Amino acid sequence: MNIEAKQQIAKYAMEMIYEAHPDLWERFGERGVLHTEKDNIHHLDHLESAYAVGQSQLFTDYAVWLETVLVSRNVETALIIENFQILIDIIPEKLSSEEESFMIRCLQEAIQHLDQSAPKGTRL
Amino acid sequence: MTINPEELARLFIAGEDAQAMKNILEYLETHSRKELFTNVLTPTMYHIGVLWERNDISVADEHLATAICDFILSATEERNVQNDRAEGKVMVMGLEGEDHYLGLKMVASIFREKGWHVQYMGPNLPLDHALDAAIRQKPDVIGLSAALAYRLPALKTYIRAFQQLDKPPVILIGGRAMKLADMTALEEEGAIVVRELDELEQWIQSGKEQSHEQHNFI
Repeated sequence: MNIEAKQQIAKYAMEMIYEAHPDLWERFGERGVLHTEKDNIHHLDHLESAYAVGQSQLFTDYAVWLETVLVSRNVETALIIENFQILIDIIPEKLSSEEESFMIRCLQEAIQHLDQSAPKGTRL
Repeated sequence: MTINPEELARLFIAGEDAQAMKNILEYLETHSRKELFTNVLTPTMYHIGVLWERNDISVADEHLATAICDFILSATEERNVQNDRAEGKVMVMGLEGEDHYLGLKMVASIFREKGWHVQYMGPNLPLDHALDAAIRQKPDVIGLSAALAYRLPALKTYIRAFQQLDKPPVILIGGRAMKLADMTALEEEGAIVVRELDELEQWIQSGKEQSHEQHNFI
């Protein structure tokens, strides 16, 4: 995936998240928007790496690390899960079918893992 | 004397470089620099990474700690030894976009201690410039470092490019990412994965023995 495609997906994912949760503007301001886009580029970088080495666990490990980083900065686990769900919806139009199905599986496994590990009260 | 990495991390974050240096110089009276790297500085910086992950410290704190660690690495290194008969030439570099470099400095330092001619290229070196330097310098070994797991595709690209050189160097891959994922894919590309400085030291030693036996470098 080239950088333009990643940026396009990241921007779209950010817009969808902010459309669904307008309160995020109040909570995190302009910085939150920039971070959301940047984080989505990181999600895609990690998906790409997982695909390159054929290890979906690499993305799950990243998701666990990401949850620690974001929850400690007041971003709920549910938002991370929702973000990954948005990527599952967007990615299919952008990639080859093999890469697409691998990345979707990575995202689904990560969602399942986060969903199981999320303590009560962190869901929206 | 021993040093508790969490205590050293506290000194780094507080900017107490003089006290940190004093403790480290005392430690070095009875320990090697490799022990300092492996048992003190690496766990200290990993702990700082964990504190950042938990939002217990800021990016600025982490930068201050990194700068002090960098200073200690440089200040404790002996470079006044003129090495006319180097064991070999190694180029050490970080991939484009990779800003972590403390591990690279440790690797460079271990090679120097073992009598190698080291060209430390620092972090974030774009591939075209790295290739250009490798063509001019013809190193026997190139050491690449990746701290984050998502650098794997870029590592593959670098490995493949270096292997196309007229005299392909041995490629060593290290960095924290080696502990975060299965690196078989990189080994299949022909690179040697080095997870710990101990492994690096063993590799240097075995290469030296081999070269002495064969009268031919590595």
